[in-house]
Amino acid sequence: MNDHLKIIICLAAIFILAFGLRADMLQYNELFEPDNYFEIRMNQDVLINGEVNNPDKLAYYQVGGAPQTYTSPLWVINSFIYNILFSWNIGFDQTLFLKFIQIISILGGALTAIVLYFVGKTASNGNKAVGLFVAFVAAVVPAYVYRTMAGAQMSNATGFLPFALGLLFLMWAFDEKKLTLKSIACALISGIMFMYMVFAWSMFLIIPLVLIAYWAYRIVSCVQYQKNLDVAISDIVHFFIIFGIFCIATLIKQFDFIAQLSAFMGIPYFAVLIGIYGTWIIGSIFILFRPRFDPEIIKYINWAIAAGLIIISIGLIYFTTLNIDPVDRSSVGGMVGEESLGSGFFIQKYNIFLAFIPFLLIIPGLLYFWKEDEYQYMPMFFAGFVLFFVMAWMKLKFTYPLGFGMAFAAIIIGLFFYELWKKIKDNKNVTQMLFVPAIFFVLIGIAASGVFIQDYVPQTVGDPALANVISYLNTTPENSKVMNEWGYGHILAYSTHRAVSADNRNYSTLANQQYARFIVDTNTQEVYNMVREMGADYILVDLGAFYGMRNYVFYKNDKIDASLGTEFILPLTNIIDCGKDTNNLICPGMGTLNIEEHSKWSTIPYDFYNGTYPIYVYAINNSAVILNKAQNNTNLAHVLVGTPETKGMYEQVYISGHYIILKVKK
Amino acid sequence: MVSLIVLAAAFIAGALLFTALRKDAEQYLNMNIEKNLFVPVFLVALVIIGVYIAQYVHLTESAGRVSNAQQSVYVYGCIIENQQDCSSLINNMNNNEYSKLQSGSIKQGIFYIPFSLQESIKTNALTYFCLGALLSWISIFIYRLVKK
Repeated sequence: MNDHLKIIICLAAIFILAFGLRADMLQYNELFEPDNYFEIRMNQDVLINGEVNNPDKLAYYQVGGAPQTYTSPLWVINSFIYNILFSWNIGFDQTLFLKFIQIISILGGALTAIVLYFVGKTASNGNKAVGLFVAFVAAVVPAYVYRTMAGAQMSNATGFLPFALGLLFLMWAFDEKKLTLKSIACALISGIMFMYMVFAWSMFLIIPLVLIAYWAYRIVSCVQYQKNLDVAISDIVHFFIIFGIFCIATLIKQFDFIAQLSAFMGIPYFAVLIGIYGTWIIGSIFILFRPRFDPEIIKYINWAIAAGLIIISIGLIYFTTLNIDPVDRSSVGGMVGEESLGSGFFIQKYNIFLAFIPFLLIIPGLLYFWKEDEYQYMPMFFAGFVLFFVMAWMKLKFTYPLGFGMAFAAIIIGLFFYELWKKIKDNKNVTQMLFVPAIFFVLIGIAASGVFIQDYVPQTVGDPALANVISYLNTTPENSKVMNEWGYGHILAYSTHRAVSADNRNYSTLANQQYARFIVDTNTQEVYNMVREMGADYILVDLGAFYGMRNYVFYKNDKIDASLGTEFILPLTNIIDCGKDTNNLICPGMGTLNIEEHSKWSTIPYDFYNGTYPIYVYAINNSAVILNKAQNNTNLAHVLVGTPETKGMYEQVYISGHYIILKVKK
Repeated sequence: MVSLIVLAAAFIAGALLFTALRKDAEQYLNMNIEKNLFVPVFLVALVIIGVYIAQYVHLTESAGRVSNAQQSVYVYGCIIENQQDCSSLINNMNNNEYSKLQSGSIKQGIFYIPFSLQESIKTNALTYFCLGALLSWISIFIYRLVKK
């Protein structure tokens, strides 16, 4: 088998493995992530109308700063492919389009793994084994599989593909070491890939950080190696093209990426501005007029770079062991699950690949000390890994980018072990003792992903009651407006074509505050007036809202404050699913509840918790709902139990599981 | 239930990768792969140990999350029991511990989250990946014997 064919077979195998691991949810005709319902709806607009509808008629309550939605190039590309494949013979079919979008997410992950083979190979100066190792890791690492599974949010799922391509073409441009047509073309393609990312995904902010880290390294290494003027000029021109296109893209898009980075990292604007443009411009001038040092000094510079990499590693250890949390968690946005600390989910997200992290703390400095500038892109990938690591540590939603970052880790680890293998390969026993367990270890990654993917199903599959709610809403008049909690907005808008008051992309502070007021306010008349003003026809409530009343107080006040909502803490709320006969609920651990008796709102407690705290018990559908005094006085309790004053305001028109749909009487 | 496409893809990938890389593995590891009985042993061990480790690690975080001053929660992997027997075994252990905790004879209970290795092996992609590689190895092994 020739070398070329062997690599094709290996890449085909890795692609099939990556595709298969991500394809589990193809068995459902649903999307995996709520945000992807938003994207597919926007993509449908683009497919049918050629652009996103602004304003969005299904987000009827875009008040309080709802952002304009721009047409993403990804939606245009998807529409183009769909038109070529299907529109000419089938036309638009919503189910087919959903399947198509599911596959787009999978392809995003699987193709990125293949591109990473070339990235790994190029970064290791043409070593195919390192390339295959990198592609394999990207194919199986659970955190990366997570956001590239069938139906995962498509902009995220496909987002790292242009990033990987941009880095690949950057390396190909620099590897030419002179200005040629090929090197200029590679630099242009690299820049265009980064430009695409600016237009398609907010993760583009990683680009300037990685590029500037690389350029900073080039500045130091040009002193060290006394490159000739042609190499220096070609380096500067290539970087100018790539970074210049990126900057132009941000200008076109009117993104002040310096301001965004400054806000994200908590560093003053001017420090970021000088850090980025100073490194670029002054660094380029420095490279052009690089000073000449004698070899003794250059040796020290080499040590200084290795020491710098070690210091970064020590900084990471310091950062992780001291549990430093620089994120402001006092805004209500912080209550969204994916905004929580990511470090608590590392074991599940990376499984066996967590072992890469200690390696990454040791190897970069060691490898540089050993091989010096032989692997000139290693510091760039280390910088990328460090950035992804810090992001993932701080926020759960960034554990996915670190999944991609594990491929960067694999490049560095692959380089180190390849060098190690070269040293020991003549000693058969040592080679086998080291590398057979290493292969064993890496292959366990497939099992890690195999376990991981079985934990996830689409929202409506895991919550059949929500599927029933969607079916019911589909029977309401087409121009109905639904007042909802933000978490259900995307799926309701896509699946029911009914207008929603809040969703988790176009949400407005006011819509969230008003929904929160509907839950926790005590003046039922004022709440009803507010609902009428909003123009809602239906309200979707979840009995689980009783558990989260304190969070709704935070939403109502638009801040997280420990002094707020304390009245909802004790005693513990409970919602017990019960069996039902003609007159009674039969509840585990509670005995029998007479339905009629417990369907009237009461100020008289049912019992006292710990002999102190009054508790109130109601029969709502098939559930026994146990509330404390503060919860009992809320609008939600009044409405769901049906107090005399609220009976003229709302009508319960549908119940499924813990969901209740109220019709607003007008 | 894990879908067939996952398992089929893992199987094909295992067969292809083994076929394509066996010569490189021989070169890199300085050992004969094609007629070495260590290969099937390696693959079987990989399935058993690999799935166990991956499943154990995967559940560890959930166990850690529900551990507190009253309870330490660990993962328990049943080697030979099926899921039902394993759950019932662990439920009994957990109930006994809970009784001790309730009666005050212990201050902190030790509880377990169970999983059955055999059930995990049945549904894990690694099993089918190794099966693909194993079948590829057997085919090459038999081909060499016949050729002789």
